This record gives sequence, C-alpha cells and structure tokens, in this order.
Amino acid sequence: MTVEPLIVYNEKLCIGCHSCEIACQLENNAPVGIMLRHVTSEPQGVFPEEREWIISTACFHCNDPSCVSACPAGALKRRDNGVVEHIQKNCIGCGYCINACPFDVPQFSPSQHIMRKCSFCTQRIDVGKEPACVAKCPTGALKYLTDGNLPKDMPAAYGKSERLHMVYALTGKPSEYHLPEPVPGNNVTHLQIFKWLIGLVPGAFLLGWFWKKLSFEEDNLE
Amino acid sequence: MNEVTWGYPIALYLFLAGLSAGGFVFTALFSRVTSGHVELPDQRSAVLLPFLLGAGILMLILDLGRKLDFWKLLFHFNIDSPMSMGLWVLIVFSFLLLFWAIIWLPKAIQSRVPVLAEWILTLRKLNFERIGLWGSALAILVAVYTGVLLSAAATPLWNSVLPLIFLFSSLSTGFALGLLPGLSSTTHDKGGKNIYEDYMMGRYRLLLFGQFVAVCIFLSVAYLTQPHEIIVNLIYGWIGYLWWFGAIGAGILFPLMTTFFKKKPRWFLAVVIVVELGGAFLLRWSLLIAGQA
Repeated sequence: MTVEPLIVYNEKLCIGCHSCEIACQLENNAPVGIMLRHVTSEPQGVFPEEREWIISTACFHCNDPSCVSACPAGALKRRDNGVVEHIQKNCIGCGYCINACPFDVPQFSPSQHIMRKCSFCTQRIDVGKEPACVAKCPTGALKYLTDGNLPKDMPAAYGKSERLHMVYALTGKPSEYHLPEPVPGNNVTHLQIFKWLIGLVPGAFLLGWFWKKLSFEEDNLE
Repeated sequence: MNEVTWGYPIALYLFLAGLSAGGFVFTALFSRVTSGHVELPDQRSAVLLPFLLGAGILMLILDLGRKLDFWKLLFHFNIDSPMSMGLWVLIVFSFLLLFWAIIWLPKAIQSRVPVLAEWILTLRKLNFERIGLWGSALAILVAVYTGVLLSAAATPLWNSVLPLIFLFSSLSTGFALGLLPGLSSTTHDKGGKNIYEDYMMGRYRLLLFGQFVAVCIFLSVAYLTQPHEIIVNLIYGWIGYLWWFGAIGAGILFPLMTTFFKKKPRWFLAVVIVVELGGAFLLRWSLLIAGQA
C-alpha cells in the first residue's frame, strides 16, 4: 500500500506569524490576492474568558475529492498517495471546481485566467523536500509526516479519520474555525444519479404521455 | 463564497441550452400531430434552434478563463463530471439540431436553393416521427443536465430539485417559442380545429403549471432542510425582486394566465413570448447569483 503523506497543523504551537503564507506564495508563484495557504484568526468569547483562535488552512487534499470529480478538463488529479494535484497547463478556468469544493478552497486567478489551489508542493516532495509552508514554519506548528501517522502525543485532528491529507489539531470546536462539520465527502458524485433521475423520470413520463395522447388525437384530425 | 464565479453568461448558456431542448420537443411533437394529415406549416422555430444552442455554447466559452483552450474539453472525458458528460450530450444534440433545421427549412429558403430542396425531400422520407421521439429524449437529457450541472456543486441552495425546475422551464420556453407565434396562424386540420390552439395549448399550460409546482417543491425543500440564510439570499433583496417578479411572475404566472385568454392578438403574443423568455432567464440568473452570494 502506498504511504500517504500528511501535513498536520497544531494550533497550540502556532503564533500566527504568516511565514507559511509567504513561503507558499513565493514557492508557487501565486499572484497578488491569491493565497494558496491562508492564516486567519478571530477573537472568541467574552472577557475574561476570551481567546483568539488561529488557523492556517490550505487545500484539504480530500480522500475522495469533489474537485477531481467536477473537473471537465483533466486539470485536477488525485495521485495514488492522496495528493490532489492541480495541473495548470490543463486548466481552462471554467470555475466548476470552485463551485464544487465543499471547503471553498480553489480560487480564480484573474491575472492567470485559471484556478489556483495548493498542490502539496509536488515539485518539492517529489525530490524529497518538505512542502514550503512546513519548511518555513518557525515553531513547528506545521509538520510534514511522510508515514501518514499522527504523533502519539497529539490529540485527535480534524479530518484524520476521513483521511484528509491536511489535518488540523485544534483547541476548539471545528465550527468555531468555520470548518464544515461533519467533514464533507464528495458532493459531485454523492447521489448524482438521483439528481439525474429527479429530472429524467418526470421527463420520460411527460414525453410518453404527450406522445401517447397524440396518437389518440390523430383520429380526430381526420 | 462571496465572489460570483458564474455570472450572467452561464445563466444565458443554461437558458439557451434549455430553450433549444424545449424547442426541439415542441417541433417533434408538432410534426407528429400534423404528419400525414395536413400540409405542414413552416416550422421556423426549428431553424432557429441550432443558432440558439450555438449562442449558448459561445457564452460558455466566453465565460472560461482561458477562452482559446476550450478545445481541451473535447479531449477529456470524465464520467463523474456533469459538465464533461453534458458537453458530450450537447455535441450530439447540436448535430441533431442542425439536421432538424435542414429538414424543416422554410419553403421560401428551399425555393432559392433547388439542390437543397431535393435533399430535403429525400430526408423527409425518413421516419422523422421516430427521430423526433429519440431526439426529444435527448433534448430532455440536455434540459435535465442544465439542472444537474448546478445541483452537483457544493452550493446548498442548488443541492435540490433544480433538474426538475429546469426540465419544465426548458420545455415551456421551447413551447412558447414554437407555439405562440403559431397561434395567430390559420393552420387548421380537416375538422376545422386550429393545430396550435386545439392540440398544443393544453400541453403548454401543463408545462407552465408543472414548472410552478416544481418551484413550490424547491422553495419548500430549501426552507425545510437548509439554514434560513441560504434561502434568504434568493427571496429577499434585489435578487428577490428578480426571483418573484421575474422568474415567478413573468416567467410562470403571467404566461399561465394568458393561456386562458380567448382572444390573443399578434402583438400580445409577442409580448408574452418576450416576457416568458425573460422570466426564464431571470430564473436561472437569480438562482445562480443567490447560490454564490
């Protein structure tokens, strides 16, 4: 079985310095306004129990990715090790992945006329390096795990059991960080056949009824 | 999602693809009702259909980030993706529409090109009732696809019965395009009945009513199963005006009401067509932008 790499974010160690964001921006040549990795923070609660949460998010590299199912141009590919790669030369900028992603990850880059999202720094991990965000994290809040297992001392992480490849060890509830709960699956393939049937079954009845009724009326046409 | 990824070009694309699908079903039914019984009147709407679909596909291409790379879609097949599957269905359908347009080319154009007229005579010997039936099944697939395209996305508002709404909306707009101009014609069968008024009007009314029911189901499902802020985007504010007055009022209720009018002057029918088609476009546009708001 292929070993699936993992990036784990540990909120306890994060100081919100945005180094990961800048490293990602430089490594992946992302234009101004496009952030493939994004650090957000927000105050929570009321004094004296208030606290500020911080989270550094990028593509979640879902195990069954909606974007790959949605892409009509073959620009998104799930590698065998679970990394969801964006092949920029194939992208035509149709925007379907943007609407299909339940985490709202892909962004349209107006200057490049295509979609952009984190590709797990495939150009780096292929040559044995860590992804840029992990390499530049000064506190070790972002860790790259090549064996796919969380450290034993780490609490349960958001997305681990759903086999996301970007998981989050948080100090609060996922909903406080605007993360969807439960972890969404592939909404493009999920029940898609029923979505077709919602239209096709009444359509077939309608057509059958129109056609049959007409043959009855033909007698009246004489 | 705060930025609108899909704006009016996609709404126009969905509208035009649906309109050409509905128009095909109308012309297929119409040719069946009249076949062998009366001299066929010109089916001008059939000639219009490939141009409408072509304009729709052009809107889709213009909405792409890399417009000149649209051909890459033709070298990829993704069975999971409604956009990829729909595109292949559309390609087959556009050839069918071209064929259909040639068959029903008006006599005025035929008389100018005698070679074409001979061809058409040969083509009309084909069993076009059967072609019409299978083509209508394909047209229904196209109409449903426009709904599934949105319904498969992660947007909660769209994750509902959109395929059903778009099916009825597509068929009723197609009927409006084909049926309403004919209402002022004097094409009668041997029993003295008007082909348009007496054979097709009831179906048009049913389609509009079906669309109304589908919209009611959609609103109920969205209200009962989704957080209220999801549906608020659609039914309040400026999008709410588009939805209630445009999509529901102009697109469904107004044409439904006019089907009960006894006298329909030519100018009034033109108004009904424009209003209904406008309403059908607003239905798609308001759903698109409310979903992405």
